[in-house]
Amino acid sequence: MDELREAPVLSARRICKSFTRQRHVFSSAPEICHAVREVSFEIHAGETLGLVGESGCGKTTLARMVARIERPSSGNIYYRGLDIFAAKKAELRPYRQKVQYIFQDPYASLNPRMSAGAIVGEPFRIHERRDGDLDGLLSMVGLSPEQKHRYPHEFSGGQRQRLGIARAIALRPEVVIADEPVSALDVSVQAQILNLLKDLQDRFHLSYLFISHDMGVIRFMSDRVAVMYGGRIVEIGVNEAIFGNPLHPYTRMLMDAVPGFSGPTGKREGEGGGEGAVSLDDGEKSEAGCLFWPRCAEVLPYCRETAPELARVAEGHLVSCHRREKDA
Amino acid sequence: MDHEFRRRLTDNRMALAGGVIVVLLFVVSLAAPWLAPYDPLAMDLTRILDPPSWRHWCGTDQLGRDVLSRMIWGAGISLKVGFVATGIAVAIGALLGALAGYYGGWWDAVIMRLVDIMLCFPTFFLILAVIAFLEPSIWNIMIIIGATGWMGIARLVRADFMSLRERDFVTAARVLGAGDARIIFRHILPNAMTSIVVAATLGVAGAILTESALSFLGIGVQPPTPSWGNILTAGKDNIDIAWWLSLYPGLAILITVLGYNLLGEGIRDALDPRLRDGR
Repeated sequence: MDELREAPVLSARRICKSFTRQRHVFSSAPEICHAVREVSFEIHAGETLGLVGESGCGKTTLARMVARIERPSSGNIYYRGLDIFAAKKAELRPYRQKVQYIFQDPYASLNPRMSAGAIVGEPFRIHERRDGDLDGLLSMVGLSPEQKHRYPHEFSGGQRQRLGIARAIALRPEVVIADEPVSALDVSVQAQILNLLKDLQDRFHLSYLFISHDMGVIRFMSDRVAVMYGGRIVEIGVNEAIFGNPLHPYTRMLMDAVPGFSGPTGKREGEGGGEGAVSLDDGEKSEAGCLFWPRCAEVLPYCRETAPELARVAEGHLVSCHRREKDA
Repeated sequence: MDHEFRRRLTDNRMALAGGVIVVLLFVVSLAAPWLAPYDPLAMDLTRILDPPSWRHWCGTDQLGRDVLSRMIWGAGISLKVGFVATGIAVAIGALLGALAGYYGGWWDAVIMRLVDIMLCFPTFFLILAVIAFLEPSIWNIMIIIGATGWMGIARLVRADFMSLRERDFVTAARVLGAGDARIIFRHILPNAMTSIVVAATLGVAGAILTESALSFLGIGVQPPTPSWGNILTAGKDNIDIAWWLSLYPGLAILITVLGYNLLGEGIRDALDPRLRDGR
C-alpha cells in the first residue's frame, strides 16, 4: 500500500474521446460517438490496474490513448509529470522507451516479413542500444534463441504472443499496456502467458494497465480494478474490494454473467440484470441520466435525469451510482 | 525465406513456364549478335518475300531481310522498352502511391486527383500526340510509356499503404518510437512488395504491347531498326502473299506477354505468406 502514496508513474486526467462519422454525403449532421468520457486514473510503480468491461465500452480506445496511438478529444495523460500530448518529439523519447504495448491479436501485431529476431530486436535498433541482449530476451519469455531466424507464421499463437511480450519488455519499460493479451489464445495457453506476465512484473517491477473482458483473468492479474461502461469508469477500487464487495449494479452483473462466479450478492443468472439486460443498444439514447439505467436492475426514478458522479465510498473505492450515494 | 520463395515459384508449373519464357527472351536478346543467322539489316534483293525454308527459317521480308534475325534483334528492343518503361512507371507510381496512402489528407487528395486527371486521357492517344511533337526515338517512347502508365500502380500502392498503416505491427513500431522512414521502408514497403512486383511484371507485358502497337503504327521504333511491331507493319502490307511476316512476330509478342503474365501471377502466389503453409 505504501506505493500508492508515491507519485504515480502514469496518470490520466479527465480524458474524453469522441469519434465523428459523417452519416451520409448530403446530411449535415454528423453522428458523434463518445467512446471515452471523463476518465481519470493513476498507475503506480509495480502495480496492475485491471480494466474490465464489455466490448465497445472504450477499453481499447483508452489504452491506445495512453500509448499515444490516438489523441484524446480533451484531457491529459502524464508520464512522470510529462504531458505526453503537449511534449515535443525529443521530450517523448523516454516515454517511448518506458511505456510499451502488448496487442490483443498475436497474428496481426508481428510483421510477417521480419524474422523473430528482427522483430524482438527492433526496439534496440530504434533506440540505438548496441548492448541489447536478444538471446537473453528470448529465453526470458520462454523461447529458445535458435528460434530467432524463424518467421512469425512458423510460431503458434502462444509463441507469437511471447514474441510480442519480448518486444514490449526489450527496453525495460516501466509501464506495459496489455490490451486483452490472452483473449485470442487457447485457454490452456492463457495461464502460461498470464504467469509469464506476472513473473516479468516481479522481475522488472513493471506496472500494467491490463485490459480484459474476462473477470477471472482480471481477478488473477490486478491489484486494482476499474470497471468501464459506456466510456466511463463506473467503479474503481482494489481487487479485494471490487470482487469482495462490488457496489455498482453493472459490476455485479458482470460477475453474475460468469458461471460459478456469482459475486457475494447472491444473485444468479437471469436475476442479475432484469429485462433485456444483455441488449447492447439500450444504453444509447439516455444521454442525460446515468448511462446504465436502461439495463439496471436497481434503477431509481431520477437515474434517468441526472448522471451520478464517481464518488468515494471507502478508502480507494469509488463508484458512480445514485443507489450507493443514498446508501452511504 | 528466399529458398522457400524459390521452391514455391518453381513448384508452380505455369509460373515456371512463364519464367522460362522470360529467361529465354533475355538470353536471346543478349546473344543476338551470335544467335542471329544473318545481319538484320542486310538486304538480299534476289530473295524478296521468300517463304520459310531451311535457308530462312521464318522467311524474308519485302526487302529480302531475314525475318528470324530481325526478330532476334527486335527481342532486345522489346525487353528494353518493357523494362525501362515499367521501371519509370513503378518509380512514379510507388512514390506517389506511398505518399498518398501513408500521409493521407492533402497528399492523398492532390495525388489522387492527379491520377484521375491522368486516367481521363485515353493513354494511347496521349502517347500518339506526344510522340507526334517529339522525335520518335526509343528513349522518348520508353519515357512516355512509363509516364502514362503509373496510375494503376499508384492506386495499388496507395491502397496497400492505407491498409497496412493501420495494422497492429505498424502501430507496434510507432509505439516503439520508430520514425516515418523506418515504418515505410522496413514495415510497410516489404509487405506492399507483392502487389508492386506483380503489377510491374504485368506492366512489362503491357509496355511491350504498347511499343509494338506504336511501332506498328510507324511512330515507334523507326525502320530500319527491327522491332516486332514494325515487322508486323511490313506483314500487314503483304498479308495476302506473305503470311510468315505477320505470324512470327505476332506469335513472339503473344508468347512474351503470356510469359510475363504467368510469371507475374506466379510471383504473386509465391510471395503471399498466407498461402505458404496452406499448400
